[in-house]
Amino acid sequence: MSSDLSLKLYVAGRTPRSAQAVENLKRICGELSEPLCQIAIIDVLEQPELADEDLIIATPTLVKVSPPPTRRIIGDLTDVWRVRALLGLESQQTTPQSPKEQEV
Amino acid sequence: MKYTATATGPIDKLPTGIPGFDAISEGGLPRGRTSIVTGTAGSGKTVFAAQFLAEGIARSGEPGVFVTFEESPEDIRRNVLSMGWDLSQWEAEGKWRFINAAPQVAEEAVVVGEYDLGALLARIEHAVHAVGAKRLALDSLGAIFSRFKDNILVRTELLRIVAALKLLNVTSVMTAERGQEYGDIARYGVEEFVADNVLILRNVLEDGKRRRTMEILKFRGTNHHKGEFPLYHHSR
Repeated sequence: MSSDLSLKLYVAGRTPRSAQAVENLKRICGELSEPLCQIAIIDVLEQPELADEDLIIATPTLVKVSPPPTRRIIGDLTDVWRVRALLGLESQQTTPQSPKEQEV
Repeated sequence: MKYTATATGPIDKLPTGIPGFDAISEGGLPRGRTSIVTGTAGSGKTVFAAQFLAEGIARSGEPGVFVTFEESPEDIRRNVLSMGWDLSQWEAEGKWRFINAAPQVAEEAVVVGEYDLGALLARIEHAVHAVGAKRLALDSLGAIFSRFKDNILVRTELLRIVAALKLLNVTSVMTAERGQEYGDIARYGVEEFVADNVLILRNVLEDGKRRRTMEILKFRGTNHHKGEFPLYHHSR
């Protein structure tokens, strides 16, 4: 669906910081009933060429691919309220849905 | 300055091929180490860094990686064409590799929480392995410090990168900005502590004429000429 949130989360290895960002993102997306989140988690240590393509320097970096406007957020995303606002989401109070997730 | 031999032997130097510099430095840049080249705007530090890589390719067949935090790769390709270096050709031959770390105007990144520069390090290691780089240039430290406001974090990450480059036996040059020809080494007060070696490029106006000079302020563990020396432009 065109309103689905397409996100890429770049992390550097399996570190507590990476895990924190992934957990926070799943929490944010898990609370939504609409739209659905498509999350791609990319480890720059395993796929640095993808970091080259997207010009990533800091980790974690969350890239909102669609819908527009595109957006980048750097950090472990601990302030989930702020992240939601930056992604243009309103917290839904209905049944949480698990996000569609692909390990890239 | 005392000449110090390390446990593994004296510090080896990499001839840069830059006119005049190899004489002042008594052989070139210390191999496997990182040098900061600091200078005011217009002192030619970006050109010096690019020349360090270009000479390596042209004279010694040593591939190089150029990490750009300010200008786009396209701008740099265009700028150095006038010096007779065809970067696109070298890129196609796998001798020169850009890491584009220049800011993308379209999206301003927002910081939420803790981060590090892990992707930059990963991209650098990847690029060095991809072309078998022996030299690396990074332009500029000032741009990194101004983009990522946490100075302590940036310094920590730069030290991590410098350590990785040392393990890879890559000889590196990183540029830094300063506000005046005779004064603080560099703008953020910490740039010189990231590296083993500090080079100061000056562009002094004297008697109505511009004089370009190089001063090697610090070369950890090895000899060099002291004081300012005239440095000449690359000539074709």
